[in-house]
Amino acid sequence: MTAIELPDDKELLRRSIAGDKDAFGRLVTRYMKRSYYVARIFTGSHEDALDISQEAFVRLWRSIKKIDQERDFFPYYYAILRNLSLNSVRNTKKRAIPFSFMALDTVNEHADTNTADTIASQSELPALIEQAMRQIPLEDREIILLKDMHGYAYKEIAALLSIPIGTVMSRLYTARNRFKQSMKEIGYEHLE
Amino acid sequence: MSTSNEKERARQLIMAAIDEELRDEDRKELSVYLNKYPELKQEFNEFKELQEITMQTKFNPLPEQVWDNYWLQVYNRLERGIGWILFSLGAIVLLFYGLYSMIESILVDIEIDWWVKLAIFSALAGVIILLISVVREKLFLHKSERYKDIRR
Repeated sequence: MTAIELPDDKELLRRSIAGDKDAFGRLVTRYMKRSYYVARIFTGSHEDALDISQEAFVRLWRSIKKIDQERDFFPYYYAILRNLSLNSVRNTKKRAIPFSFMALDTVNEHADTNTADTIASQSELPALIEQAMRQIPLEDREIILLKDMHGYAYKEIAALLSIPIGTVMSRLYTARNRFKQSMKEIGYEHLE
Repeated sequence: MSTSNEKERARQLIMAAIDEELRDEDRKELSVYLNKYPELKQEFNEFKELQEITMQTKFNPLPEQVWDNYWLQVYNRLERGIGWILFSLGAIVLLFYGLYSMIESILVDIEIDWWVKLAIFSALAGVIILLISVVREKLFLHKSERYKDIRR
């Protein structure tokens, strides 16, 4: 039995530009999880992340004729998603609603679970990470989580943020350094 | 290269090393810097440990139903967008037609005093001027907004 070949992103984008909504739907389905979780990095809230990631797809569809079909689809989408997310965060701050960060779930598959101390620190870790992440600038959180949570390569992050790879490395250093300091300040003692 | 430039370069290489993006030709360079600046070795270990924590961090997974309905919700928004455009167009036409009919009926109504007619037209003219002013301001600001294309 031969496997069914799925159209690649470029083909789906080409068809979307030609007005094929089904092709666009397949692109949406292909990228929806990634989009939602990226929006979640910025907004922290499930409802906002869902709303913004969907709205970004709508805006992309409205301007789809302007897209260069030879280029990757996701950086275009990411630029829209990022702007909408940052606007949302700014508006949330203006409305003085407490910024609710993510419900993190730390998977500690490789951690040593034998000692009571380790178990205690494991259960506290998600809250500590959440607190530390909340204290660092949004752009720092973005680049750390793009790398460590989503697993993007430097090249991909450079494309998403429209910056050179060297700048990705420098910004990662700055962001991780702030995060490290933040973790130490809130009492995480293992970074020695 | 000055010390600060060397450390800056070393820190970039440390990032590349812990992210497994270090090129073979950079390995030797990083090794030189780590031997030269022991404090960077300490940083390297701390960043490595920190990354192990953040890499294990995941968002709680959402129910599959959210993903099953995702495209449908996007599609509904697309459809509603078209609906709003058609509704707005129709509403604008009806609004202008209503205004026109109202003005026409006021003009021909001999029972309305001239000063009431004048007040109505004055109020209407005021609303139109304010509307045009707001629209022009919005358009002008959008065109001359220096930072509108800058992603923050």
